[in-house]
Amino acid sequence: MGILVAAIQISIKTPLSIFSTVLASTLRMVGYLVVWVSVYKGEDLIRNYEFTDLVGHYLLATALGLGLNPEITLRIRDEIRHGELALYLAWPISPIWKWFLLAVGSRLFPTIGIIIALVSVVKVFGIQVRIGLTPVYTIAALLAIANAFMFNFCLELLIAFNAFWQAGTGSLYLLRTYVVGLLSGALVPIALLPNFLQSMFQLIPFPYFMYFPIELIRAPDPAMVMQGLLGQMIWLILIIAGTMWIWRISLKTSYVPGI
Amino acid sequence: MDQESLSRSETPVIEAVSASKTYTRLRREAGLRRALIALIRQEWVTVEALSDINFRVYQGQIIGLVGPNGSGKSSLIKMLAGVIPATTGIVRVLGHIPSRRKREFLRRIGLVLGQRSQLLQELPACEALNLHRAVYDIPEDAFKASVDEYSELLGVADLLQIELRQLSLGERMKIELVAVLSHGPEVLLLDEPTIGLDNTSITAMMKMLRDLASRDLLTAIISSHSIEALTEVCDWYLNLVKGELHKSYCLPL
Repeated sequence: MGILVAAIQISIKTPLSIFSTVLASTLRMVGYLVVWVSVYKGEDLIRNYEFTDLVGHYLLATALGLGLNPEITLRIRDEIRHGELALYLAWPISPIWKWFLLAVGSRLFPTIGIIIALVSVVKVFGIQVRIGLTPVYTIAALLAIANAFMFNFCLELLIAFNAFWQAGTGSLYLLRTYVVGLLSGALVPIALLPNFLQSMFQLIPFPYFMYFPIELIRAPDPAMVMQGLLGQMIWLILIIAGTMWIWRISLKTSYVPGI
Repeated sequence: MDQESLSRSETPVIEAVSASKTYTRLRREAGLRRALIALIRQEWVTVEALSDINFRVYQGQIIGLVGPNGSGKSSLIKMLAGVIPATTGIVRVLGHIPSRRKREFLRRIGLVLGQRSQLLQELPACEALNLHRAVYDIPEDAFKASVDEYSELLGVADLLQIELRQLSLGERMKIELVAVLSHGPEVLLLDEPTIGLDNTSITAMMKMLRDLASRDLLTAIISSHSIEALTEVCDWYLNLVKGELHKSYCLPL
């Protein structure tokens, strides 16, 4: 709890960072919508997807994209590189817990900020957004969001652990940002993709941790909820196991006196 | 005089038996051509950081760790803290194998590495210390009493409301020490703790450690290049040269 409070305090002390993050996310969303307005010109439906569905998709993708992005990679990388990790390894709790709580705490205010910004946009422009949540689906959505945060956190850990072997992790982080953006269904809703691509997207983990939570909030149905949560669990178990394995190997084989 | 004769009857708090540590590091010669070749063929060299280290430390003793740069002092401290495992041999601290990093072991030790901080620099010292309290689950009253006592002794009581990143290196090092002492460790491992400290502060720190060793039977290993500082506080010394334990001395060095 103390670590969580510390992370929130650090987050409070960087209001400019919170403001610029919220502004950047909102501008990106507006940019996508401007492009899609021209695509939908004269069309009511594209592949059974209405323009209002698209607006709802981008609003949720923007909020979740910000809230579910732990942004802890660079801190971990620096702690490994500069040798502070040695001190954290002597703590009675795992450094991974510290990083996790710092990630959760640091996301709190930007997420609240983006939700306020998006709700304001919806109200000011009178945008119709379909939200299909019932109490049961709300619980499922919260579970899906928690799973998605955990998945992204593990992904960031895996990138940061590269610092045990190599100096450059910034480019990997950038690659991760683009890959996740493209393959998670955040940039282009999967429903708008050709059928063969939609089938391929079911075989990769990323849509389960972005597109699925969005659809779960926007237009849930029982079959989708069960399939989505099951898919999340399978990928989550795999990535947690992989992350812990890499962590152990990193500590055993790559810890040299210099760091 | 052998250090064993100081207290043969007791169980050692810290024990190393034929402990060694080897690691590999990348070697690359200068030049663009070499850099390109290194992309395909990397040359790793094995370095023996510590070789056949044997010593015992008993409760309440303060040991100085001396030796030139690269002699393995930091490696030994990290090995005793469980940060790196011994390649061969046995290391025991408080009856535990440190590299297993059991929670009950880690709660009983404290580690300070000079020029590195375990406290979040973005926070005021008091908040960073509070985080430390949460990590070690220290009762609030006991924590407050510890922080008050040690910050007073080290002369940093007035600095607790200041952000850590705005403090000098020496001031931050003192607050690191306050933090690491606040959970009442039985074994304290200090690697170059005198970096950035003025002579008065070093004397105050060493006196405090000596008092803790007498009052609370704190056991400590301190590595430092400041031999004068160690002379004030240490019972005996480990002299490391190129990873080998050359000799252990009793006072005077």
